[in-house]
Amino acid sequence: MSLAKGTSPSIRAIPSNWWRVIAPVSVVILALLVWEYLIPLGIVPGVRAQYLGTPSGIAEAASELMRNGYGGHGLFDHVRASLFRTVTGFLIAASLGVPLGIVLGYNQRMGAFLLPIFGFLRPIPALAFIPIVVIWFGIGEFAKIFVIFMTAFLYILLGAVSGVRSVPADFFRLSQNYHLPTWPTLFRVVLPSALPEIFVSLRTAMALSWAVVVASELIAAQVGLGYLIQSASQVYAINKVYVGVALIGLVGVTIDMLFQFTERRMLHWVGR
Amino acid sequence: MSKPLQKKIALQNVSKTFGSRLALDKLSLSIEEGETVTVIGPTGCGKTTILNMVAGFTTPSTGQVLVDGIEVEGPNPQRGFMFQRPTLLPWLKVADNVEFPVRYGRLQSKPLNAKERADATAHYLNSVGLSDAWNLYPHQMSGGMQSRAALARLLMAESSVLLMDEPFAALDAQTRFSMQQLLKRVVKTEGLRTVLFITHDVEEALLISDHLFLMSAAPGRIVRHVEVPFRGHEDYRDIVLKAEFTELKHELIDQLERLVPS
Repeated sequence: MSLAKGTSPSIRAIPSNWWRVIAPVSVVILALLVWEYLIPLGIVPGVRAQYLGTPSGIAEAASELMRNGYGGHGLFDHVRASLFRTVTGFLIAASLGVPLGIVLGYNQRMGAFLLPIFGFLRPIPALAFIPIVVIWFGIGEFAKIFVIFMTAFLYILLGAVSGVRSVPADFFRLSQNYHLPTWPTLFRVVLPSALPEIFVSLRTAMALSWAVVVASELIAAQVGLGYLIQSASQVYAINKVYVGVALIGLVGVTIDMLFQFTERRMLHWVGR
Repeated sequence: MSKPLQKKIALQNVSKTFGSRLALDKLSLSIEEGETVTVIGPTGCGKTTILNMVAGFTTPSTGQVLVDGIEVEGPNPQRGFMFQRPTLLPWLKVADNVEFPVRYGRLQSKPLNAKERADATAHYLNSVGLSDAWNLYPHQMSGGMQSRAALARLLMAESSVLLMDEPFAALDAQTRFSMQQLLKRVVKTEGLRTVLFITHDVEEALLISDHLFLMSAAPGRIVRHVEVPFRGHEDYRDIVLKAEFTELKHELIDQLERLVPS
């Protein structure tokens, strides 16, 4: 084609594997160097180093936090506090949401009573409930767990309902044909068949819960990763805020990986 | 208590309407115990509706469906159903799928203990040629093997009536032949079973059945009853080579084509 003549071969050439590694890494290194050495000189207009922190400052803050903790609590106490709230709220939500969702999805008459209400509540961001929950339950541990429960419960319940509704009609007919009682029908046919969709909702609910716990700790808490970043930001300890944010991300990714691992083990037949 | 003239399955003046659409129009049909009967007809003629009514999944709008002289009131393990797709539970191994109805269902016969169940499962897996596959999951098997597993599950429940809704339609020709052979053989060897088989494949109908009913397009009526003359033959190769077979097959295909509204 005549068009190809004008195109420089160097642009079209496929980069080597080395290049694919070196190119992005060099960008990151360059950015860190600029951040570390040029920003503190004050030569970048509109950027003040004290608000932006430095890479070396972040490293220092990380080791400081690991040694001395923050606000009278060790760093891992903060992680543990946030995890405890999330996991407690999530587990209560899952242990109520999955069975109730299966029953409401299976029994359409019962579903008709409650599902429209849950369907209305779910899209409301959990954060909008926080002021209400604070009025009802104060700012204690229960309030935070309750907000997480609300978020996860609605998500899991509606996920289970939709999972049950996607069970192939012939599975129900098979159960009817051989007069399977309700219990085996629910636990041997409906639940396993709905499990892939339930798992998706559990995973999403867990990610949401983790996000919500941090938000609820921003408002009122003495311990937890949300408290840590909120409190550190109030005294402009920006490097500590970065460490807190990174930890929140790290824990979130780890939880999600655990879910994916469990999902692959439990749902070995899915996608085959 | 069976009266001497009582049919195993009888549909008497059965009509079925879906909304304002008449799907079946005063259809009557009867099947003797131990017979294999196929119903064949163009798409949408209501042949699956007939099967669903005998199974008890749907009820006729008017008329009666009788099995052993008793009106059908709902699904019953005495009338086992084989679906268009194998409908195996994907999270269970083949052996667990086969024993599933017997293990968790409420069948007429007295419940089997674990040992008896395992023996029965092994027996039926063997009779469909899946002895070596008991440990596989459905997704690890070919379509033909899945179909065999579904047949083993159907036989395992020891239903006296087998209702089959185009169960081999999705298989390739070779596998379909072997499934037809297998069905014929197990119906003969595994106790007295009455089979009502739905298909749109004339050849299949001629190969497996004692009687064939041809249905018109909707509203479905029986337009022809053929007493299939090849019932004595074991091997399909003996049948398909007969001139009589080819003739009847083409005649039925022609008739079927004329029934499809153009």
